[in-house]
Amino acid sequence: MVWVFYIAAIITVIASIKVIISRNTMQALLYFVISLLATLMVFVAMNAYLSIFLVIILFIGAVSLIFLLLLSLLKLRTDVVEQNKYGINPKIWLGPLILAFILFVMLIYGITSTDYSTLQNGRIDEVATANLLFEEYILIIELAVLLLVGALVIAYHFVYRLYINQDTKLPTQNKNDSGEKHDSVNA
Amino acid sequence: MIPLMHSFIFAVSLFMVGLLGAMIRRNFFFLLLSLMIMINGAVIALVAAGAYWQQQDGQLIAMLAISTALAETLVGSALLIKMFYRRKTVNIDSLSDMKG
Repeated sequence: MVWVFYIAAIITVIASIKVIISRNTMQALLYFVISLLATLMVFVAMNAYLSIFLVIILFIGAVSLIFLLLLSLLKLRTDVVEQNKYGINPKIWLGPLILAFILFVMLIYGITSTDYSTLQNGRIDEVATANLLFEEYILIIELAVLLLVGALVIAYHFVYRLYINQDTKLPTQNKNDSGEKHDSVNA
Repeated sequence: MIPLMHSFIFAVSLFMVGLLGAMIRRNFFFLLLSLMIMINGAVIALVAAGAYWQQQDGQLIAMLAISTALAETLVGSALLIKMFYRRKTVNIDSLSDMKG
């Protein structure tokens, strides 16, 4: 299982490089999710199974969903102004598909080649780790919850004042108003 | 057993990729994605250190780092929405322009 780590690490770095050099926002988001999935394979190679659930729930389930919501709310298609040639063409999903297929083959190999007789005496027990969260590390949990509540209050504060003080229309729906405001900003 | 040096080289390279993306992009959306890549590298370093010495503490601190990433995504998304409604663009350099 050592070479699984190296292949997953190379896929993670390649997908991260593709995130920062791509111009299409949806393509960048797809490569970001592929990078996180390759990170999960790294965690499998490290026998850190509790972090896999955390990364699935918090990174892929929450962060990627927030980014997808931003893309669909603000209609950010490409990095620059031109918006033609947008759609699900093979240029967008062919690269993530190849990387995901390599990950899938590695997952199949990991399932079939695991020696299940050694799983009985695992070195890191996930149940003991999860129990440790509520006994010894209860302050860490409370700190994380306070951090998330603070971030929620701050985000609501920004968007609430935005909706109260200004009109609630999207700037892409009101061309004349946005043009006047843009001219007044640049004047 | 994976050597600890290789895990740290991987984490540092991922962190440097995120830092490079935060430096070369001016789009706020790609800036947030680059920050996520940097936090991902830090999480990998924490989990690798915890897995090397067979301790649970690495994964528990990694959970706090992931919560920090989630909070940062919330606040960054709110700032992106506010900047897009005010300036009608996602260019981060537009905040340096003067009003008058």
